[in-house]
Amino acid sequence: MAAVKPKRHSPTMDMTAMCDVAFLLLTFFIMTSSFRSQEAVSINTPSSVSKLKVEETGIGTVSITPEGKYYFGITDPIEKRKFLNTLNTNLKLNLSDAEKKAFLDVAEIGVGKDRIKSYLSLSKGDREKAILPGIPLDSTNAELIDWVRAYAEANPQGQLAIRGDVKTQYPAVKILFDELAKVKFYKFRLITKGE
Amino acid sequence: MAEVQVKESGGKKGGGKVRSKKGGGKPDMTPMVDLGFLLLTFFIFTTTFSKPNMMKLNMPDKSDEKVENQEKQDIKLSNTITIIMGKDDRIFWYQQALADVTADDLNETDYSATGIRADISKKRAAALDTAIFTVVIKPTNEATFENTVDILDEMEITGNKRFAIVDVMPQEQKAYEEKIARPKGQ
Repeated sequence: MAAVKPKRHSPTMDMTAMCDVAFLLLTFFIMTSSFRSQEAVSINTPSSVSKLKVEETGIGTVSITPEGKYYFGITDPIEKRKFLNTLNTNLKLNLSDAEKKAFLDVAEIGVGKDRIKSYLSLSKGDREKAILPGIPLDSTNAELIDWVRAYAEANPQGQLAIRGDVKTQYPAVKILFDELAKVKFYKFRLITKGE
Repeated sequence: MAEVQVKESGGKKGGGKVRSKKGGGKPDMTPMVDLGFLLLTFFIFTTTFSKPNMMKLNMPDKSDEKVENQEKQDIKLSNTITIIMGKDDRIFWYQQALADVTADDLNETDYSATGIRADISKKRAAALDTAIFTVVIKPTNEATFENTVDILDEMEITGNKRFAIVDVMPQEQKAYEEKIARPKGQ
């Protein structure tokens, strides 16, 4: 009579527990996270001891690149829509519906009113590759101020945040302060990162 | 456990017939684990962990209309300190009447805790009236945004509520240019 062999354990592990862990973590990260929006330019903000967190709503952000170019962005989609309508009327941009949609897709706008129409009519891929001249702001053409005013008009509760790079030279910030002071805008938020 | 107990039907039927074990009912979880971790990795990479911080900044009103209504106060020299931020992360401070500030009056320090922070605290302690001790921040055109944030940070750390960011005056600019031309430490 053949001996009954003892039941062999196959070398496979039970993966169920591991699977549970993986999906638990996945669920956790999906629920706690917010997506990183596609930024037109990478800005390395200086660090500070400030404990104040940036709010998701009620903030319009002026980004200043190390080269002194200005970009304007709004996080909240509802505010952005309102801002777009005001800007469209104030600056007489005459944007089409498709261009408006493209505007809402872009996290930060880095072109002035004379080029915004052609910029927004580009395809998504081309937009990312396009060289952005920044919104003009100097003593002769203070267009960025019109943008800020349009934002303040569309969202009276909104605040203006300035996001500068570590290497941004002070004159670029100074022009912004000076021009905003002319339209009685004195309160700012400076965006930094925690230490 | 995702293990389905397979009921052995007809356990003992007398004979020594060894039945082949049924393999069904226990799916292989490995691909699912792979998928789980893949998604997990994707989400970790695409999310922002720490939200950026922000600091409040109020600029002084520049319009000249309401000067008469503003409260006038005699500001003693010892109640103020002026900080000038310059090129290559160099920083100077002085306590001097604006009109006769020279390069020799500018004291060079640095952005560390023992540098400008200690100087501010020392001058604050020595002030006639600590309550109205004012820090005047003057970034030159060669300063960076980081320098400005650093100094505002120092205001927060030292607990100074009275500070203002002001433009550099011609007299100071002259003194600064003379000072910056000298090597550090002289």
